[in-house]
Amino acid sequence: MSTLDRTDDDLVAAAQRGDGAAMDQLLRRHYDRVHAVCRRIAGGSRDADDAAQEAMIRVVRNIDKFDGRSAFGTWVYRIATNTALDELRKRKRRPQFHVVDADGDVAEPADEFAHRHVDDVADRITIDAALADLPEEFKAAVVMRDVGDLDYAEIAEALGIPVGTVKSRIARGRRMLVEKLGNQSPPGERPITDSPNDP
Amino acid sequence: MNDEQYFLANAYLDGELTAEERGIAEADPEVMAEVEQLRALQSALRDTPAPSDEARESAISAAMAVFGAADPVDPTDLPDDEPAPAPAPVVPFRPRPAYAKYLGIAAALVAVAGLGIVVSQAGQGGDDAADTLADTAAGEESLDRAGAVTESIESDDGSAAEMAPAEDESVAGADDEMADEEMADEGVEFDAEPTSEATADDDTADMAAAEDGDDVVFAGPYREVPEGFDPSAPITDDVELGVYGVYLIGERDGGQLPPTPNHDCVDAEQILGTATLLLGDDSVAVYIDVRETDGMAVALRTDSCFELMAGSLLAD
Repeated sequence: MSTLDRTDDDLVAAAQRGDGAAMDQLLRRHYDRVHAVCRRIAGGSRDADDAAQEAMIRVVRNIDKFDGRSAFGTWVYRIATNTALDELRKRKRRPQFHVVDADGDVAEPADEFAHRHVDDVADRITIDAALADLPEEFKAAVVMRDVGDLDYAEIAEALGIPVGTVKSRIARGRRMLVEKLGNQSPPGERPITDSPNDP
Repeated sequence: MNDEQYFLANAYLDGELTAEERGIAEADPEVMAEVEQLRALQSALRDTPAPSDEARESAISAAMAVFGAADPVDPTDLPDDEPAPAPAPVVPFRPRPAYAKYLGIAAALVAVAGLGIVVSQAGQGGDDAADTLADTAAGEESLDRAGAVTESIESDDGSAAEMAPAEDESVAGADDEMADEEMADEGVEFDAEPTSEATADDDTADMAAAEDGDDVVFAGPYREVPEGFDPSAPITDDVELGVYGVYLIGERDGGQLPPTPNHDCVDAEQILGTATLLLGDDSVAVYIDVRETDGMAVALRTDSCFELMAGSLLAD
């Protein structure tokens, strides 16, 4: 059986024994969704890159402490959520500096990381703005559900709150987002597609 | 739509209903209309830009450097019966002596002063000076970010003086190098045997450390702990959390800290105590993770390690 066919549990056990290929495969398997979670919490592509890398490092550093009480994915996405929140807080604390041209006008930001210098306009439209205003506890629950694809029980376990609270936070968080977004979302932002989790 | 319908719509979308509840939801046009709206929101949230291959490989390489595998194996090429590679030996650094952070602060001040001199030269010297500044800022590839700043400098003649002192992370890098040199001068030695992080991929490990922020020293003064501070009082905001973090550092340094509570917060830096956090009407038991490398105190739920609040240790 190749590493591609092995379950997370098998790969974790192998990684805990020092199997680099298993660790590498675990990271690859979860990176994209970790990045997506970080992207939605941290808010910018570059911040998401930073947070996702930090999350990967934390996973590796702590893999020997993972005891299997929760699913590996739940554990990883909790780390990703915390790491992205850290990144968000770091960014808020980071001073912003600007290049001043000869006329004294502010030109480009000198620290693209501090200023969320996103790659393109689409990166900073309404979804990010709406998420940025959401309280962290609501944001974490909504992102874990809608981006991380965790179910209520997994989110409850990751956040240490009752399932009923998860349900409430997701519902209220979505309501806040919908209210913030209103009907202002640009075309393509809110396509209606089938969800794999729909009943 | 009432709350009951709204919660029903959410649970329907999330596949968290029983068959009977689904039937109720599907029979209610208002609920199903809400489901469609929520589905559109969910789709928009999921529609994140894919990470670049460069970012993915960089992240995995950095993590694997920490793991100790010098050459991450392409999992698609791995035969079934290949024995697992032996992990590289990990030799931990000795902990820094307590005075190291003061050396770091002093070195940071020297570095800032040094950059200030270069900056003033750059302000007078035009392109050549700006190039000098760029070289200085970039250091020895200490941070990609320094490189990014360099590009900005080179593209904006005469503007360097406005921005150079801002690159705190390159300063921190200089600080670290200088602190290490000073420690070496004073006979402080690290283990001669390199760590797996250092041997696996120096550039990647350096980048990981830089991104990790472990070596960033925040040189600002800590918050004042007010006289008569009550450590048993609930924490209500981030300022109080920061003050409590500083209090815990003082207790630790004075040898007064009780034993570290047992916890499962694997990504914490150092949990020095517990507290009660007031969030609205809720009281939540939290661990206090004091992240001195980050200048922050972070409140982590005791039952899940989820971060609820962060407060700066540093004075405003």
